[in-house]
Amino acid sequence: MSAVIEARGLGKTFRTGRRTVHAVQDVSLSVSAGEALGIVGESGCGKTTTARMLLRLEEPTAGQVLFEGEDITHRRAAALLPFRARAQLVFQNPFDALNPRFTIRRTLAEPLRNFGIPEAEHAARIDAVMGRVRLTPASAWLDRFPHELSGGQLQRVVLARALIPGPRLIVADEPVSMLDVSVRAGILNLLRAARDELGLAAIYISHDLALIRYVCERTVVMYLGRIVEEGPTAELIAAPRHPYTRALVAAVPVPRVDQDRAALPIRGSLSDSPLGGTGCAFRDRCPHAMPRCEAEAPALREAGQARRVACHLEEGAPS
Amino acid sequence: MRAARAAWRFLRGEPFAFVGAAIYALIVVTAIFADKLAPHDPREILRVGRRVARYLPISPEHWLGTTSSGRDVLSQLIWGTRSALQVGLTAAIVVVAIGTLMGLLAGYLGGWVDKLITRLADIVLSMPFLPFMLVLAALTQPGTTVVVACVALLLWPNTARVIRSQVLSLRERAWVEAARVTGCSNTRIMFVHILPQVLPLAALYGSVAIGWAILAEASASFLGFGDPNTVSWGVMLQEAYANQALGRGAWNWFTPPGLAIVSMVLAGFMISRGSEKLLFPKLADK
Amino acid sequence: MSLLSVENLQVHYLTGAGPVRAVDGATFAVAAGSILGLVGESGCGKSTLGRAIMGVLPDAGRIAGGSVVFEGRDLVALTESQRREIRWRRLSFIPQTAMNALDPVQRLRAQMLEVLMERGGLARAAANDRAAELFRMVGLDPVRLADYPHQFSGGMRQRASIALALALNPALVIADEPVTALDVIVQRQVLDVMRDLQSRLNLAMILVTHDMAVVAYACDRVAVMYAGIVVESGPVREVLERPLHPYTMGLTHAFPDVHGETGELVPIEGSPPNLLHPPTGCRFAARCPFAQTRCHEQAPPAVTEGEHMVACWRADEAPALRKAAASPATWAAVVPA
Repeated sequence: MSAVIEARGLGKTFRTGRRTVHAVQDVSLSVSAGEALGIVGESGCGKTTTARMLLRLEEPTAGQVLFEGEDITHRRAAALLPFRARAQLVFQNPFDALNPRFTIRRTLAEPLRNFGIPEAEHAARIDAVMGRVRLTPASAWLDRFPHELSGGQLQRVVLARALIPGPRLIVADEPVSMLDVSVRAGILNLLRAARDELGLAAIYISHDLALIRYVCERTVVMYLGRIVEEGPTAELIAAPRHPYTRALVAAVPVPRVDQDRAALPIRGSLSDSPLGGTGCAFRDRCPHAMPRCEAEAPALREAGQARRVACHLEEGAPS
Repeated sequence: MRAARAAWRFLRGEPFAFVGAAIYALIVVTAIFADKLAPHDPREILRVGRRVARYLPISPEHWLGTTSSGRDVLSQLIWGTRSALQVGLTAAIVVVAIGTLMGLLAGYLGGWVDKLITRLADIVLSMPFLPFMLVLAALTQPGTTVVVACVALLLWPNTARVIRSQVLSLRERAWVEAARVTGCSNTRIMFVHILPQVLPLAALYGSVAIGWAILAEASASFLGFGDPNTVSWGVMLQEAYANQALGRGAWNWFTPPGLAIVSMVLAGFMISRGSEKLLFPKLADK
Repeated sequence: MSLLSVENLQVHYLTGAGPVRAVDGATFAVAAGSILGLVGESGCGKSTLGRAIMGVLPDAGRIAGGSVVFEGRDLVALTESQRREIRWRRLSFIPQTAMNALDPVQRLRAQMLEVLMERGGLARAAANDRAAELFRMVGLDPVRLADYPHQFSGGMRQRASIALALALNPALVIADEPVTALDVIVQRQVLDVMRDLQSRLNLAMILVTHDMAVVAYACDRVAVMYAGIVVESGPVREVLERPLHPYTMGLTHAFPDVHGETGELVPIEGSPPNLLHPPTGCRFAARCPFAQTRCHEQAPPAVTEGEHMVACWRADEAPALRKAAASPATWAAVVPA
């Protein structure tokens, strides 16, 4: 299967005054049609910046982004239009993602107009997509304004807007974190159905491994701008290899009374982590840190079937 | 309809804005019906018998008396609303148009465009208003066009600054990014998505510009750079001054246009003060 | 004897269109040294309830009925100055965003000392010692007392606001979504601090949250709110493992469990009712797959069996309903108006 989107050694460096911040470093990943990839990590780990680079909302400072085999890394804004139609974003906050002065109809017509779809087709397309996100009958919703809708309904509109140009890739950045628990499942199910039925490539960004497990077959874990582990989601959760992944898995709250309440296998907090220098970025919080971790950054290596880990402990481990 | 109801509810809660809007409304109505309301032709030289009816005091026939050349003050005052509104509205529209455009470009595009516009605005704001207008008037034909041009050239930075900061915060909103993802060009984002959001703010600055323009026109006329053939409050003041109305105690001549100017300028500020609460709720909390 | 017992509490927000019944009959109790989880969705009244107990409702909010008995005194009947005596000393508050509790332009030491000396009447030296002790208690280095809040990470700020809330040794702390804005690892660490304080200081807490998993991890008892009413309450294990109310059943299937089954998640379709004109019957009826005619006509009374309280006409059939509620088809059949 060929990749819909591929990142090769992607990096983003921000310069603020004298300081240089490596928001993302050396991220390589690819997602095929019909596949969903999860990117997990804490805030500030670079997951959102990575996604924004994949969508070319941010220009990478290193590496390449390939969409359906074409290099779009440094393509100019005007030339990105065909790509925009094929790579869409589902926003985190549905209360802020829709123009408050546009009706739902106008919101959905906007991409159709911009991507040059003949006006005659608009009504049918809008109707079809409203059906797909289960806002039916469409006529009851299309003339409303965003402030008249609940969070779950708004997120359906956001999803509809992303689907209407017929994309090949959908990126969802924390798609349900702002929604009430009772409606989250509805949105996740719609996203899953859209991917399955339309054969989309999907990328989910979240700090919540439980959510990622529900929607993604494969997951990468990011820490301070780098991928530290990658693998099939179920395996990654059942048998995490990187110490950071282990802490992340242990920290996910579970809705059961009987559970492990032991202290997390991690020390300190994110702000204690070294900002630069050589060595592993996780070493100050790692319960297994050794002298070598100080001296040398571990590379992301193959570690068994479809798995990659960046940890010195994993070297020489049976693969 | 919904907007009208919202505006009414707002005005009821904000006494400042209410008074300001009431003054504007009164002036607009007066201007529209000036020909019906004015008891005399403002330029007509009235006579009592053979003699020119100069310096008549307040009386039932002449509610505000007459001028040195025997013209009815009330009629001049009423007709003056037309030129005041004309100057005020034209200037306000031009100010708002330039200011909004500049603010939009600076705020949305950022980078060198922003730097250029901000620098330009700083230069313009440092120019003194009256001398600038006098020079411009001296170089060209005196008249209302010069006044409007001056107000437009010198007042846009105020609007531009506010619009710019508003746009700076709007462009961080997710729906602006969504517009980009769904294929909008920068031009479309600026004019279709962002512009409608800042128009209320622009209109507010326009209401202040109306007051400024009227003040400017009055100053220009008072200093003799106005169009002597129009009937305006500024020209009235200038005539009163030239004919030493002050020394003669003809307060019924110079007070009404003075008060009219002051109240109209004040109305603009009252509206803006009142609506600040609406537009910048955080400001009002403090 | 409970530390706090809330009886049929009513809180209304006065609006131009009439009173919004944000809390409309909440009944529950908190025992000394235990943590109660108050769960529900946005707009269900859980935050309002917390604020009403604290006596810090916004201007339009009024307690319209019921009682809040804390350490033997009805807080509703107290004057504002009597309440101020209790606030912070006996009853204190941790807001969702720590920045609301902390003053951004003051060093943390100054903020701690202000509370300890002015409200607590401690001398400067004693207050300094106490501030350091509090910081150690929540897992912060006392050296950081010299910092400003913006120099702290989100988790550290939340720890600092916990320390501030505990300054005067309250018996009960109300925490409004204290970990919602935090990343999972930090969230867990903050919850661990709270559990540790509970057991060491015999502190009671009300933890307002929308997350059942947070309740499962940290709480002893839980009260589930829906549309202004406590629909079910009891020991966490009881409520989570044997829910009696269909809404609670729905919630337990609405979100994935990282280690559990990967079956289809079940959304609860529709949205909560408008509290300006609440429905006459059960408030959940419009979204409930098990609603019958009676449910739409008459509000179910709260029934308590042992420690488990529920307000549902069909609570007797709960075991059968639980089985049905696990299937997505059951919930998909509901078409809310």
